[in-house]
Amino acid sequence: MTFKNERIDQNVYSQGEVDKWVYSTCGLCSVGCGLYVAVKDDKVVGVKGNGDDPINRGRLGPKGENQWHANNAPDRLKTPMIRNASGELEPASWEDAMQLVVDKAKQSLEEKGRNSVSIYSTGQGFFEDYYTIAKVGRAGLQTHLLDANTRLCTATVEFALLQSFGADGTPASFDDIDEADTLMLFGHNVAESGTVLFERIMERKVRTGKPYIIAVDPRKTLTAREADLHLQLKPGSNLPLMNGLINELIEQDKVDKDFVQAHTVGYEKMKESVKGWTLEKTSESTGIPEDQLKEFYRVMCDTPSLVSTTLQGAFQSAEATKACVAINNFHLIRGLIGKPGCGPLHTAGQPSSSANRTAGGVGTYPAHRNPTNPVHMKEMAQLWNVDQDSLPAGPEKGIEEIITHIEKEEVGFFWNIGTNPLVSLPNRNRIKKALDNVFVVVQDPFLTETSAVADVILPVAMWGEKEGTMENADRTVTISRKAAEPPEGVRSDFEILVDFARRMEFKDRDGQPLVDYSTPEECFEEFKGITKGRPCDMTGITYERLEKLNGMRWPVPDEKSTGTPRLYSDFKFHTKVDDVQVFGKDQFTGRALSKEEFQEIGAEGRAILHETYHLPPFEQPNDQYPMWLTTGRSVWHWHTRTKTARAPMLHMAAPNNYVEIHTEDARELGIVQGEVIRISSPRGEIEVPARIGETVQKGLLFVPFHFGNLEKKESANNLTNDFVDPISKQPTYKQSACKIEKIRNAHEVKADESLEEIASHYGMTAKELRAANNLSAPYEIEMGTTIEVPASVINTPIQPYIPQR
Amino acid sequence: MSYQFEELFADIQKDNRKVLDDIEPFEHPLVVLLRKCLEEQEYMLDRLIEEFEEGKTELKDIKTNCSALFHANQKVNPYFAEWKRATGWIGYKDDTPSEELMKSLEERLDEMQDDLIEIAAKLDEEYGESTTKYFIPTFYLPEERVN
Repeated sequence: MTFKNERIDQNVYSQGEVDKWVYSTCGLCSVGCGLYVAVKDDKVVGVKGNGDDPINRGRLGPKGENQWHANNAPDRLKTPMIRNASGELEPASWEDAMQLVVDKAKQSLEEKGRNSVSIYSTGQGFFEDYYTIAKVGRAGLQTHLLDANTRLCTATVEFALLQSFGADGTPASFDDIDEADTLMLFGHNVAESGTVLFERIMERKVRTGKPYIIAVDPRKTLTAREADLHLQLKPGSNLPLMNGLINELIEQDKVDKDFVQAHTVGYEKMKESVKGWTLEKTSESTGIPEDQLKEFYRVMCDTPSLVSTTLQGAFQSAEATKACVAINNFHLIRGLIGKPGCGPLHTAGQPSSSANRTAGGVGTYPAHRNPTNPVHMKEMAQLWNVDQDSLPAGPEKGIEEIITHIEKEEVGFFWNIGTNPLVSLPNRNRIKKALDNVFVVVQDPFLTETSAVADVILPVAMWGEKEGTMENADRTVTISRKAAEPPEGVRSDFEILVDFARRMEFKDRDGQPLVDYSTPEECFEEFKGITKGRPCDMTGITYERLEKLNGMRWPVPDEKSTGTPRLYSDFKFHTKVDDVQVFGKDQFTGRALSKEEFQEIGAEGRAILHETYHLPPFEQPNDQYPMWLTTGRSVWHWHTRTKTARAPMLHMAAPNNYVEIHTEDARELGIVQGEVIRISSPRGEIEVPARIGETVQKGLLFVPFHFGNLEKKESANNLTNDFVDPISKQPTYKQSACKIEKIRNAHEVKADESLEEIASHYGMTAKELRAANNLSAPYEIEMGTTIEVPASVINTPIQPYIPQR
Repeated sequence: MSYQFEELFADIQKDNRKVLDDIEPFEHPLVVLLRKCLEEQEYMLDRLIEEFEEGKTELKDIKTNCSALFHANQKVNPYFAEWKRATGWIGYKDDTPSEELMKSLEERLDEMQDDLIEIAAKLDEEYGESTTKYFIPTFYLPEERVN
């Protein structure tokens, strides 16, 4: 059961009654809350929750409530821009901009070949955008280089699911959370990243006492504070924790042997890989006290039902896919999958990153088709009416690999849609240098930091100004209706992609236009046909039904079906050789397996248990860089703040970046609250105020990743390394090494000058100045003594957020 | 098969062995991954050379091993590049390799890749794109035929 009662959250700014309320879905996080958009004078002026939508029953999170402000921001781009000969961006007509885009794409194809053109898209678009990217990219441009910022998010979900179950699609849903006895939130700070889902969890918890919540997180987050058990593990020790748990389950002889025998392969190899992960070794490796581990083992080995969710703490860490696969392994060997209140629920950050995976805009082909299986490729060629040989085959390339191709001057055209890589990608100095040397198209409603490297900018319609469908974190497909017209001079992503296909003259085998639909709904109907018979079958979905039923979880195989809340309830997995979405990867090295190698596994419809051998993080603190650095989200902002910085309430709630530092570390270093300190790594440095407390553990610094002004030293990704997870190719943002330096001025104490006077002169308190100099007594200040004064102190209060209203 | 694949595989095998020997002292986690891929390459190369030594070889006899070899190599270069960056930044404990060694490793890995590109081109010529595209990664195939 979802929320017991509805509560309609509303945020509208309108003189008088609004003209209409238009059915839609929240476009921020991956929960996918139903809402209505308020329209007045053909402008989006607010939102209110949809009380009938079972996901949120009318509730909205702070970001969701305030997302509409950006639509009306005065700095919306309203005309394309082209970089002129003197390097300045200047307004241009759509005709000139699109012609330049087409000319440059053609030039790159001609001079450098098919794989010289890259589209890097988003997790915030619609199915219709992603499917068109897939069709244009695969069958039109015929390039391998399609990726999206989902690589920084749900790529790990996809590969963890492919490795274990043969196809994408998270097994459990939010409904299972409502029924679970135990909920493990693994690297998933749901209170800040998916506030309404957290409310849903806590509403039941308050009402029934369930579920028992386990939070696995190196930080004492808002989520962790509400948990029954917080496992505050060391950075980079996700897999050791899971290996210890699985070893314990085996030692206690609590494996569901019948389930393992009937529905899985690979048990013995998996068992061997966790052997030796004793309580002592796991405690040492994770830093979690033995008694806490014992409690964790007790609950996890005995709970009758369990949902395990994951997010960036799992995905952006060392051994990302292995850790998620280990979670899958645990569910499988306990038989806790495909049953009410059970299953892994690997989530997502963005509202429709799952849709991009399903539509084939990244990684594999549309509707979970295998790019290395000739059978699937033949189907795709037939469905698109193109020559099979023209379709690119083989494993995908991730954004970090694409950057390497750009550095090698093998890419001539980089089309950046709805994402801001100059803030969001790790080691951004490298990214900027690479993108400076390729023709870059930026498609965005605003001048983002990435526009600094753009050669063409195409202004696009925002949420509320276009129609389309999304897929949330639990496979629910939703519809967002167009509420208002976009500003004059602005086009939707979909319109731009369709126009590009027309201008490029992409044709099918009969000489007809490759992209022959012109509306999002026509596009969806075509995509629906592509999904028939596949794991994500959407045959029974129509725009009308999506609105009527407030979304449906795929598969929806016919018009009688209202969707599938839980996958694998028949314990049949997508691991038959001509069903599987990819042939998998070596669990240790990430090397792609061939069809023959996959056949040798012999899964044939059973789930695959994988080995999970541990490997330490690729970068670890040393004498020169003694601190761990991790990055993450704040409840008040979204990604690179393109939208949330334009919502006054959200901006004011957290206007500056900062670094969290543990109280003891701050005391040892003599750092005072709010003092601007320099954090540096071998990649770069930032100078941000310190927020001292106990949210982070000792030895760990946390910097939100939302801030990235190129003119300021504030971006977390100035510091992060750009290593990637071997299997999902996700950057390991959560584990970099760094150091702290104080930025101080010297003050020589004059005769008759008191500490209070000095402190007051610099806008500090005497207590702060004493702390800054590690002074314990006033008499330590004497004439002629030189004391250090922080160069800058910026208070960074963050508006408290109370998740359960 | 008409082309001298055996010779090329033997060249790669030689380079592969040398790189494995050269990285033996290092323990960085990226080297662990690199080593594992190189060991896989070595295993596949042994099988492939053995196959050719036995006489007339058909595609079905080498396809799976070839696929594993190419896909392992596709991981070798990124791991090496990442290790090189890691070495320039922080390194790992006290096992930082010399610049000369890194340069020489890079040259050998490049040669290995060039040999594989040559093999891919010949296999593509002999068996056609409809076949090779499903077991050789795109970026090893001839540029004019990259699907």
